[in-house]
Amino acid sequence: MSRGAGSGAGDAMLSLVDIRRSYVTGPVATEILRGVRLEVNRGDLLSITGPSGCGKSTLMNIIGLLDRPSAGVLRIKGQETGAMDDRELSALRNRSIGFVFQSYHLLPRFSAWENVALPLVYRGMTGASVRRRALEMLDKVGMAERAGHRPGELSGGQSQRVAIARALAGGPDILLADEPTGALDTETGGGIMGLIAGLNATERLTAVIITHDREIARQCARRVRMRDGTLNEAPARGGGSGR
Amino acid sequence: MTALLRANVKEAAGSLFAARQRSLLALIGIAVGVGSVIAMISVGAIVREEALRQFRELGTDALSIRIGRSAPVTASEAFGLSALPGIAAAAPFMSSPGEISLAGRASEDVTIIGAPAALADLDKLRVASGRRISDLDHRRYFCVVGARVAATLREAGFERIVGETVRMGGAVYTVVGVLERLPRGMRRYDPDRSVFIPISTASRALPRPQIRHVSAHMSPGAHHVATTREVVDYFRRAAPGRKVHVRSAEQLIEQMYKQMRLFALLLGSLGSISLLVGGIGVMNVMLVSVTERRSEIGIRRAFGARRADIQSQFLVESVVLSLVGGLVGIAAGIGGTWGICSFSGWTFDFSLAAVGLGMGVATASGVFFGFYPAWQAARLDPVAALRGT
Ligand SMILES: Nc1ncnc2c1ncn2[C@@H]1O[C@H](COP(=O)(O)OP(=O)(O)OP(=O)(O)O)[C@@H](O)[C@H]1O
Ligand SMILES: [Mg+2]
Repeated sequence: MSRGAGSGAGDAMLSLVDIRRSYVTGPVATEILRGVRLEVNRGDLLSITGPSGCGKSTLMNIIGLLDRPSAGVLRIKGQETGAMDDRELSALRNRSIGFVFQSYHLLPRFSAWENVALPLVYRGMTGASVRRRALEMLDKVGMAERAGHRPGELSGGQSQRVAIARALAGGPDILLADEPTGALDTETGGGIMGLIAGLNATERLTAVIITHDREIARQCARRVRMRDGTLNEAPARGGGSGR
Repeated sequence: MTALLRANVKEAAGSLFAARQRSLLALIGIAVGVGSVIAMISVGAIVREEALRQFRELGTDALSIRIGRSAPVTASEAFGLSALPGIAAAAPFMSSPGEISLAGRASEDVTIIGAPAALADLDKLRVASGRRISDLDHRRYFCVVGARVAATLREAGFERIVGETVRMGGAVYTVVGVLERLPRGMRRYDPDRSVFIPISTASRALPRPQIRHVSAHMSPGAHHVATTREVVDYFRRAAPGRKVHVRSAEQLIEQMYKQMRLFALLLGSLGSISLLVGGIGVMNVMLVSVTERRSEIGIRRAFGARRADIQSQFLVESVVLSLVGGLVGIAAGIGGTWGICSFSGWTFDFSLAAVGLGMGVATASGVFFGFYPAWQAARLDPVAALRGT
């Protein structure tokens, strides 16, 4: 599996070594992740597929520093995260991770641009630069005209574009998307995937996408399948790689 | 930090407004609580001020003695009062309702006080123009008029009151002095609406020349209860069944403090109970708010909010809620203080310190009762919060 780090840049954004996660419910402990290994390099576009309930979201939450593994080592840009406290984890999450969720997860009382500003606010940014940066990001996803709209006034596809702008606003090292097209029709979903793939091609955006959609997975240069709590990478194809 | 704070306040206002029925209940509790605390503190300050004013006016050693109508005292008996160890000085006076008129142009109902010169000292009757009644005015028809009486005469067109002649009860008097405007204090008459004549004149001119009042000051160190006893005993020596009422400044102030303590007790218990009820209301509103906004908390955490950020966000919310209640409470407290003052006859006053205290109490209860919900919010597992379970 070490051949997965095939981009050759040696620019490791993410490194997982023997990650395990078990849930204890009552007297039984179920191990969902059973030794996950993964290397993600700068500019990788990687999909994770697998049957429902196999642990994809669990893995995503661990990578995104929202959850801690029961065992194993997680490095983000070479930094070992195991011993970090809430303060350090939150700061690293704010700087390095950009989340996109299946159900958008926009704050309903905030306008589009205020939602996009969220990572900037928690970075301690203030003043006009926050709004400027948020509008810049909305422009990048083609949503500049909707900056003042509330999430309730946006369609699903539009909401997901705003969510992508929010994920990218802080200039993260990795975009983590958990079924970003899961709530959208094929065509709209294709547009969202096109946006991510485009940013990967033009700006070397590193992205990890969890999906059930083969068409989406096909657009990713690296494809990983989860089964029985471990990952298996499919052989690399010529396609739109991030080289 | 300011953008974060502004965003938090905005979010707080929005979510509290969305739950306005529940919020309202909490608000009322906090408002009544803060109002009571403010009224309690203000009334305390006002009573202290009132006591101080009383002290400045006549001194705390003042005694005011009234004898029952059935057995008035003689002048020598009244003057003999100052021989008692507890009494430093005493001035008996006659008092009678009457009417003053000036050349038929102005007339006014007044109290005619026939008194020795000493009364002006004991009752602090300060003269604004002219002079006081002197003991050398023996049996002369001279008078000193109170400020209100002088004002009436002046309205009738007499610029200089001193030197004018006025008519009272069929006799003609020359005005020799005008008093300053004076509060009534514990005097048995309203100085502004009185006319003072020599006691020797009064015993001839008044329809019922009886001495039924004595103003006195106690000796230094004398206690008002013991002195009151002495005075009553003294007057009953000559006429055992005589009714003698003694009022002392100390006793008055004591009564005032007693009344204040009653209000303080009332307001204190009302205030603490309402603050508790309001605080529990705030806690309830916040706990429900935390539960309803789990996914929001998860989202914020996903984009870099620390536990401390979530904690402070929810604390800001409960403080905003309490402060809104506190503002209403400040208005209620000032209103309540005004009500108590007009009920008790005290001079209304309110201080910025009381307003500050109200804001402080509101903020403190917001922090105190908001702490647990905020802590709950901060320690939510972000994964579970995002899933909304
Ligand atoms: N907090 C939890 N406690 C106990 N079990 C859990 C918990 N969270 C997840 N699981 C279990 O872990 C397994 C993996 O869940 P996960 O959400 O990661 O699956 P998934 O691969 O994302 O599925 P899907 O494709 O349906 O989203 C499931 O069987 C789930 O029941
Ligand atoms: Mg999932």
